[in-house]
Amino acid sequence: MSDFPDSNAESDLSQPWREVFEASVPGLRAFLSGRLSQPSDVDDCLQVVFVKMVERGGDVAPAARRSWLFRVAANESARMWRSKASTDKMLERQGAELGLREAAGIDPTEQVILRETTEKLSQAVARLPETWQQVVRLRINENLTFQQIAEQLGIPLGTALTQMRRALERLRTEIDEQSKSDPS
Amino acid sequence: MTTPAASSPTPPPDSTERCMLYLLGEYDADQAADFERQLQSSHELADELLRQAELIAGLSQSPVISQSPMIPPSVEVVDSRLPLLASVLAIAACIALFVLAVQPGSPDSDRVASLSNSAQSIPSEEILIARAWADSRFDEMLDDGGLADLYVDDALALATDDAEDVDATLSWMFIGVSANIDAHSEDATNDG
Repeated sequence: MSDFPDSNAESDLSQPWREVFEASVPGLRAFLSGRLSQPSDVDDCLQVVFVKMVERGGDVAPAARRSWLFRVAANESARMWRSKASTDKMLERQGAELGLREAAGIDPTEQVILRETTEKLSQAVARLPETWQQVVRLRINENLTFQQIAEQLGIPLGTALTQMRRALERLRTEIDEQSKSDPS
Repeated sequence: MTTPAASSPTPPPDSTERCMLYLLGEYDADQAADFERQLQSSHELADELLRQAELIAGLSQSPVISQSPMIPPSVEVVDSRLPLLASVLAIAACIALFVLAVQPGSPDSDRVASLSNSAQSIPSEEILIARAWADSRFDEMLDDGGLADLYVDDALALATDDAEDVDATLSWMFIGVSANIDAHSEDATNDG
């Protein structure tokens, strides 16, 4: 944790969030190394992800925190890649702290896209079979393990896993189809 | 984050499911490390991981998932206050109906009152019939100059004043019998 910037908001960061971030750093580093050529860029991106987590991660459900970190990492790596195309070492020029603060700001376009995606996703979830919705809710919202879900619903563990996987596959298919039919 | 060990499912070959399990923290340390090694060398796996991450992160912000209370079919949550509340409501409804029924001036109360008086109204009608019958007989006797006034008055007094104590259904018969006796005595007098 000492590799990441000291922030006033960090004191408000809950311990579970810290644990999730620390457990996710190896995976995030592996993920970012395929998107950013320089190891220093990977470190910079991880710092931006950390700051965003501190400032904006409070509302994310525990079960979705690692996913949220990877999504932020992907967005930030893309932003850094675009910035590096026109400017060299944006974070070095602007100063690390200032650059991190600006990068952590809320992009209005990104917010609109996120809102639309969430709306489409909600509609797609409502069309899922009820049993699949139950598994998704228990896993994402209630943060139960698949073993606990299987016991609570009285279904085999493999069935719970399969229903979750099929739910995600169907949701992604529906989102992709909606994006193709409505490119706006 | 959940980190099941013994109960953790074996990583399947399917990359979608592997990404899902990794992102949801279902892998133990060894499984996660193995997945991360593959992630570093496989762009396809990284792309799949990102798609799954976007879906799961989006699901957590979806009101359908985050705001809907989860009630599994095997668990029925019943508010223990509901039976008590239903009983109180039922009792209150009964009291309200009773109060409405006995309230003076209401149609229901009139009906109830008429029903309660029906037992008394039946003897009264019989007395009226008897009185009418006796009157007719009395007039007839007066016209005939009979002397049965005393019997009739006594009989009427018995039928009206003691109506509550004596079975009134018999009073008009008594009047009738008395009148017959009078008539016979009158006939005898006339014959004699």
